[in-house]
Amino acid sequence: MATALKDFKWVGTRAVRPDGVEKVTGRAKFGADFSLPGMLIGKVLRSPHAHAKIKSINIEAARTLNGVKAIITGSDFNELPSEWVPAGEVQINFRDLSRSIMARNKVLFEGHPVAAVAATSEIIAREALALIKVEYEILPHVIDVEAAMSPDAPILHEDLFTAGVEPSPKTASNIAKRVDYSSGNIDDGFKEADVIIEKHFTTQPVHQGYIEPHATVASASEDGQCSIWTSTQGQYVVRAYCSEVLQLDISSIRVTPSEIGGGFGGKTTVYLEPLALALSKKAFRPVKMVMSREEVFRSSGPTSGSSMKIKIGARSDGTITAADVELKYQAGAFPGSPIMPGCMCALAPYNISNAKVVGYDVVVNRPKVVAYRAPGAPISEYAVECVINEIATKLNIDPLDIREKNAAKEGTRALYGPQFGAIGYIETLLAARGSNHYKSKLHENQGRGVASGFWFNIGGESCATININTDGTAELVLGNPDIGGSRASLAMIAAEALGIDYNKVHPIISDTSGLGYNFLTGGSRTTFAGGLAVNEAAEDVVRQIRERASKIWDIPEEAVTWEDGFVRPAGTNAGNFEPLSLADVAGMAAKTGGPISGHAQLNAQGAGPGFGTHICDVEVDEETGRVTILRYTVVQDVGKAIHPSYVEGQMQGGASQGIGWALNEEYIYDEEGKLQNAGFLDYRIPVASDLPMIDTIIVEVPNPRHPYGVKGVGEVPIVPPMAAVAGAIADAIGVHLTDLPMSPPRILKELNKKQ
Amino acid sequence: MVKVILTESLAKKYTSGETQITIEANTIQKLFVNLNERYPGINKALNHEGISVVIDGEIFQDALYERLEGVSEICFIPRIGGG
Amino acid sequence: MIYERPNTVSEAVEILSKSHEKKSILAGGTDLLVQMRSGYYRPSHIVDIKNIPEATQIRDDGDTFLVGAGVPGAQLSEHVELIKAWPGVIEAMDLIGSTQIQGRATLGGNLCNASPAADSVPAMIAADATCIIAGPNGYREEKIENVVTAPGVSSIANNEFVVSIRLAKFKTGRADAYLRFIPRTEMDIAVVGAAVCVLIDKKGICLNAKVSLGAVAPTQVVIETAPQILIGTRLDEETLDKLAKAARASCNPIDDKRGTIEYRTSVAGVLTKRAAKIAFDRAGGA
Ligand SMILES: Cc1cc2nc3c(=O)[nH]c(=O)nc-3n(C[C@H](O)[C@H](O)[C@H](O)COP(=O)(O)OP(=O)(O)OC[C@H]3O[C@@H](n4cnc5c(N)ncnc54)[C@H](O)[C@@H]3O)c2cc1C
Repeated sequence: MATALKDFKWVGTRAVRPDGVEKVTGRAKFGADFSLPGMLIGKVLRSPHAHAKIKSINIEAARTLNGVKAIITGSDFNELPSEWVPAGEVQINFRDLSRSIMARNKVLFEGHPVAAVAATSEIIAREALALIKVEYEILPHVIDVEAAMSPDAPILHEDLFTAGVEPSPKTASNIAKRVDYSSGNIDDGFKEADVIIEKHFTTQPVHQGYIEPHATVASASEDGQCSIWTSTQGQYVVRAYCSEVLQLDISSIRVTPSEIGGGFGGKTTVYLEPLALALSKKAFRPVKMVMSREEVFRSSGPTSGSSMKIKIGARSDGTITAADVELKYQAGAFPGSPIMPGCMCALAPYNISNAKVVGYDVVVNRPKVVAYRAPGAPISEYAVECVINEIATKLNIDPLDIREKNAAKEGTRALYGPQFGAIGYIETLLAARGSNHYKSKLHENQGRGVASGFWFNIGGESCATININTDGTAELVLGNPDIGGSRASLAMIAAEALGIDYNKVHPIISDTSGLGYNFLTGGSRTTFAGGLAVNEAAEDVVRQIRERASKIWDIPEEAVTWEDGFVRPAGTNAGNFEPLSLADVAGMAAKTGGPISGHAQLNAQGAGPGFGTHICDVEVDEETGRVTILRYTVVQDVGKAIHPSYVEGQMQGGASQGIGWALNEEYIYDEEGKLQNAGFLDYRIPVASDLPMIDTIIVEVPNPRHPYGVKGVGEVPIVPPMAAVAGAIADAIGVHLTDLPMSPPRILKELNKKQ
Repeated sequence: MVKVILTESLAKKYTSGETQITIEANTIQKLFVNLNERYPGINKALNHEGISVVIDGEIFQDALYERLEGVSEICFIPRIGGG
Repeated sequence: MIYERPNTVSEAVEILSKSHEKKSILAGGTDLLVQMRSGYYRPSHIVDIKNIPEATQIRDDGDTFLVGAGVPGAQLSEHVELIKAWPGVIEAMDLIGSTQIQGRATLGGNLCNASPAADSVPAMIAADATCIIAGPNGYREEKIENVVTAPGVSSIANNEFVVSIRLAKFKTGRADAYLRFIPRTEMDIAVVGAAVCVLIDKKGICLNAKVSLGAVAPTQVVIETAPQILIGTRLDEETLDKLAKAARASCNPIDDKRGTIEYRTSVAGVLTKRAAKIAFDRAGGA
């Protein structure tokens, strides 16, 4: 294990990305860019109701419409058992997944698919949808998490009994599960406190907001072979889910990922793929399905909204003595909010002896939530960070100092069990304090906030193949869709390990047939785990090169060394032969045993936890409540930045999304549970002119479990922004807001209350 | 002998509140078997929605066959996915 | 769906006079095409006015400018004389959408789309602009404030269209300003819009004024009491507070996804005051 990192030739540089020209010239093929001869267009009929029984579906008129080639409804899908089963890396309840993509006896949210049609044109497909008659019996619905938990709430699932409470409840409810973690004794801890702050917080569900809507083409042939082209974070996961939902052999499905216009967790599941495939299996023609932005909002994503109670006590010197946390997360229409990671992350940055965290997973009549960058963590950590900021204000302690005083470090035991290894949290606090930003002055109506964030980061299954061509160039075959520049980073690792020019490494993303199983691009794992696989594949290549050289020179393999891209004879043979480059050996591959190709397949362990600290300056217009972000700095321990530009891009992107979450993003429902703002006009993610250039400070505390020290980057930066923005607003106007989004009307209301 | 750290809620249900137990096992697989023998039902509770094993502070997504010689502490956390 | 592109006003009127189920004028299309794409509206007949000289030119008509109803925002923002005469109208038009939208969006389309939140409409009202309308009986001229009659409804008949907008030429001591509130910095719909036009004498005393608000009622609002409040003053704080109060009193907004009644009303006062200050400064009153 290389703990002390040596100087690298490629790793750590800002090499040009291999997909850059394709993307800026419009050549890159995204999901909706695929077309096949004879292709049909598929469209989904969606529920207009938030909660209703499906009494009947009549497809007769649609079926006989000229140009309609296939129609599917819930009855075309197998009933799957309700159990959590592993699908590659994640545990999935396929019964729920299957019902979420196509309703059975009940619709559970506005936008819930009830039927899908494939026709020879989009116009015909739309006409056919209008001809499908669905008879509904409208049921009372519930949108809000607190309302869904009340005893008289409308029940979504008659067979849902709260897990995690003793004795098991006898009546169904919307609370899917209760979880708790605790250590020490919080009552004792609060007794030791000089100041106690207790607050209630709410956050809104927010959409991942990827620019590219879901798009897929599926083609099934009469002999059972199926192909899917789709925009996804994981081609292998799409294959696994389709095989499970449609009960097909895994080997019968081949999935090719397109270039992807953002995912942020939202493309870790399937929506259209099984529908397109099921339609294609009826029509035996390729079926293309593309969601509109409206459909994206009504039926995909988001992450949970929440209601939270946080109570934290501290001594006057800032030492936190106790924390009591209650989290209620909306899961959407089916169980499975990120409540577990929410609970585990809530207090993770801190060393607190007396702590208790209780969480609830609650179903409501909204689309089932799906992963969104560090799923669960931004929500609970927002609330905790806000309370810590308020304690700092009350005790007149610098918010970075109070964090440093309580910060988790190597050896700190997290509430959920383990002790931390080589983490770099304190290093981010020190770097924040030393930044020019933190030292700069503020003016009237301006304020500064800071907040920190934690996320686990994961490893998982990854494969890589490196094919060495006869001219010494290399084809690098990867199994993870490239969302944030991973092709560049992994090619840099290959170049480094092979001792060849980065420009001689050509990375491609394989379809599912080219490599063994790869878990998806998510969990901040791709450069970490993919990097391990690429490094191992390169070692495999080197082993083969040495073997070939030993044949060429007719000396034992042990007598051949590899250094800086050359094989050299060593020991007693040293100096007897001229060194050979990779290209030299590759040129003789056929004569020495055939093509040279290195492979690696592994399940990466040892991912390094990530910590970040953000600084935010705002100005508040006291007459309108409008918040302008003046300056923003992201500080993060990334282990090692393989390609600093893409690391910075992740840090800036996470901050931007978090700022949107903080200030304006929210779902607006009417009384009937229908979404009023299913579009980017009224679902307000920040536009470029809303944000200043976001500054970044990369902190590198290497991960000892990775040859290049990589920890994972992509998720941590969305954790701190909400509390950093809230802290800055509090500093500017003297009011600590607790409900997101902190939109102008809400701030103006608070300002008026203050006067 | 390795030390196993359990959450309080699991401990309440299966180990009469004991959150730290020591147990003999040379692999994680064996550890599960031995744990379940001593605290019947605990395996199922641990594995409900998937689990990762933390071996001396390091998270293993899949650790069933990891060897435990020289290991001092084990705990279990839900399997982490991510966005 | 039939698409036609007449070359003259009379050709256009002729097409419009034939009875078609659902006719639509196409100017920039930044409203129309979006409505069609979303399936919200499907015209059977589209009449594109971008080939008609009167509708696509900015002409000098003696004391006034005649701005073709099909002239895109980008062109208006480069017209030095118009900017000098009507900085408020031009800044209102320039707020619409983004660079891409500016290449197409027009004053005429913004007006005839008849949205209560249209940005250029309050500014045109405050500027006392009129529009030239062509129909089967020839031309007629209408004040801008008489065009929008309800959300999405205008007083332009089915067989008529707006050819151009008339705006006065530069006058010393007169200036206008437009401000809107949106939660973001662009690509958003006004939660409140406020346009103010003032005429002052050399000493900075207000001689005349017109104030109009957008997005606070089913149609654009003219604050009737504004001249009374402002004329004879130097737009001092006290006067401006009175104006803000009058602005709030003239609001009749709705609660919707873009803003609450309470919020819209409150911000209407703030923006009116701020816009009045800017107009006053521009007129040389500072
Ligand atoms: C991304 C985006 C952002 C936008 N931002 C804003 C904004 O910030 N503020 C704002 O106010 N608007 C905004 N809009 C709306 C739109 O751009 C404006 O209303 C624009 O001024 C419309 O002009 P147009 O020429 O494109 O109209 P068109 O779409 O061509 O026409 C609009 C309507 O008016 C009718 N019409 C057009 N011209 C005439 C005429 N001469 N005579 C009779 N009827 C006519 C059409 O039939 C149609 O019903 C935005 C739109 C988009 C897509």
